[in-house]
Amino acid sequence: MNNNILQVKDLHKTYNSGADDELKVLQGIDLEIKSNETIGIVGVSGSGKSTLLHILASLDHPTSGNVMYKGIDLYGYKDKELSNIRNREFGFVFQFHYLLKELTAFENVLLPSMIGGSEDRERVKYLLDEVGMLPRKDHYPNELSGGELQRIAIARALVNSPTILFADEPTGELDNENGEKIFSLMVDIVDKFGATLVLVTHNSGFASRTEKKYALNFGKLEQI
Amino acid sequence: MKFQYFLAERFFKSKKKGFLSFISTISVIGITVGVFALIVVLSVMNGFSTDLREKILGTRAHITIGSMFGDIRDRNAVVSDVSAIPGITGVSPVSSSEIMIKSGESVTGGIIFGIDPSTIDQVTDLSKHVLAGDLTHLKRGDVIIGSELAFNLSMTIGGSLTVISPNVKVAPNGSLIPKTVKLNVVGIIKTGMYDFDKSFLYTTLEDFSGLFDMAENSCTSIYVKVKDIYDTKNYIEQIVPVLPSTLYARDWIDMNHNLFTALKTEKFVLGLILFMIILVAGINVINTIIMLVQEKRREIGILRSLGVREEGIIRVFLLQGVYIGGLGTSLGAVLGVIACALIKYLGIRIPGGGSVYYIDVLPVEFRFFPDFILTIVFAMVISVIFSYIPAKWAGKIDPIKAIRHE
Ligand SMILES: Nc1ncnc2c1ncn2[C@@H]1O[C@H](COP(=O)(O)OP(=O)(O)O)[C@@H](O)[C@H]1O
Ligand SMILES: [Mg+2]
Repeated sequence: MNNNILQVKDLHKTYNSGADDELKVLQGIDLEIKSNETIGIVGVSGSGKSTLLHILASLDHPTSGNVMYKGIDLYGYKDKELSNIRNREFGFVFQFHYLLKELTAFENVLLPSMIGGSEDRERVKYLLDEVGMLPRKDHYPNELSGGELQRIAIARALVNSPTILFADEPTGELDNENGEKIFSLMVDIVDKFGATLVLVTHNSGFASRTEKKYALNFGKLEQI
Repeated sequence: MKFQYFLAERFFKSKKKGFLSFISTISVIGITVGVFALIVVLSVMNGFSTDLREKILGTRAHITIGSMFGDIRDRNAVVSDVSAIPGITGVSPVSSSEIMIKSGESVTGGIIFGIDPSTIDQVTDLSKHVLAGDLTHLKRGDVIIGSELAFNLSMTIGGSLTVISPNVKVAPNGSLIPKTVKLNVVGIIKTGMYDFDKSFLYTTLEDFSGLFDMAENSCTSIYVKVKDIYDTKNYIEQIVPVLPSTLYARDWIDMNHNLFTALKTEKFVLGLILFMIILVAGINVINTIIMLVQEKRREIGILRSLGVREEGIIRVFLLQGVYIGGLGTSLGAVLGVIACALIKYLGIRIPGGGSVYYIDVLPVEFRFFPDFILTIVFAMVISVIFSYIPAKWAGKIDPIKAIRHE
């Protein structure tokens, strides 16, 4: 047993496999991620960063190869077990905040906790405070700005104390100043809670702040 | 709170704009209309049935004893034997036959009853329907006639009419002479059953026997009244052994079999049609949930990424169906009950009423079980089953497709 929390071997992803417009997005990815590491993956738009992140995070299926989480093939799990892992051990921050518009900031952050069967309201308050959004806890998404929404999304991703936080261009929708703030917040908070961070971005400036950096080019991953 | 209920409620209550809110409302209204119509129509059908039964039982016996060969010979013996059976609350001899009625120039057909004035009240409610005169003090030569008959003959109390028996005598010259009796009209009866009121006449047993040359102490039937009108089969089992072998006993259900079967069939067919309305309303629910799922595709993807299982998603959308069904059913049930109450207390006149059964006001009888309960259960079951179909589909939505969809 090694201390790799996530391990990927010879991962391939091909869209429209076999068709005329077949697109080989990932062509043999090897990657090992250790516990509490922060990983940055950079690549130009369309290089397959989101595809890779989704596969690492159990949301998409690889065409071939597998993803071992804690030594077990993620894609061998049944819906129930996989859902439990997504709920308790994974956290997601996407490019767009993806908060539910029918719920307040507080309820959005509480939701993963409710899904998991507990309702840790104290932690929700604590996290909202950490991301500086406690005073806005009763606001609905349409009453908040892009940066504020992304802060709440980060709090939501962390509410169940995940082992790994997956972030897909979390600052992509924000202006530089706000993007910088959100990025720092995320790196600091992950550092504080001791989680693993897997971040993909097209902004190599942000990636330089992670412990390990990779470049995704033509379907291959290369450490830089 | 379970997150499924929390989310379902928020999705349902959220200020959905435009089309979706419109079709949700239509769905709810569809169920409401179906449930409302079913409750009201079933209640009115019950009302008709009960009304008819009461009217029939008011003029006819619960159990009728008759003879296979025309007359019951020793009526007093039969009356006293049957009276002795426990649970039998009244016994009275009644003779009846078709006759012709002549009054002035008009001649019409009718049915004449020979009754025993002292016991007739034990077995029928006829006395209650007598508008003028007194059935229980009928004397020889008296007759009480139906209100419609009186109207048709332009007959009033104090007048007289001639009753012509189908029994004929051969005159010395060889011609046939029908037997006739002249009777004095001493009362008018209105039972509320048009058919009865236009042809029934009530006279004494003695006059009847005279008209038909019957032996003394005989009659054509004996009316029996029992405690429980739905237990007549049981009483018949006890009555038959005490009767001479040439006599038989039949209950009111048997004697009006066609009428009640027709009513039952009608209620069933109407119920079926209305159940179809609810079924169609259920298809509306499918549509609504499909649209809702379509609108919430991204949310479904997000929820899956947050660890909601397939069945969790299914439940959220199933609950939408439960809310739509629940709201529609409750509204329909409340409106249905209110409508029944209004029909009952306001009294809705039936256009053209009175010409068939004299029911001029719409009858209504609300039955909690099984009609009401069954309607509600059916509407809810349909809503749940029909929302399960799109809910299942929602559960199958690939999270990544839902999230990527930008
Ligand atoms: N479902 C899909 N079907 C076909 N092609 C897809 C699909 N999803 C993504 N792609 C394509 O795969 C490539 C990589 O996409 P993506 O992983 O989103 O890149 P990035 O996140 O680096 O911008 C793009 O060319 C994109 O158009
Ligand atoms: Mg991307």
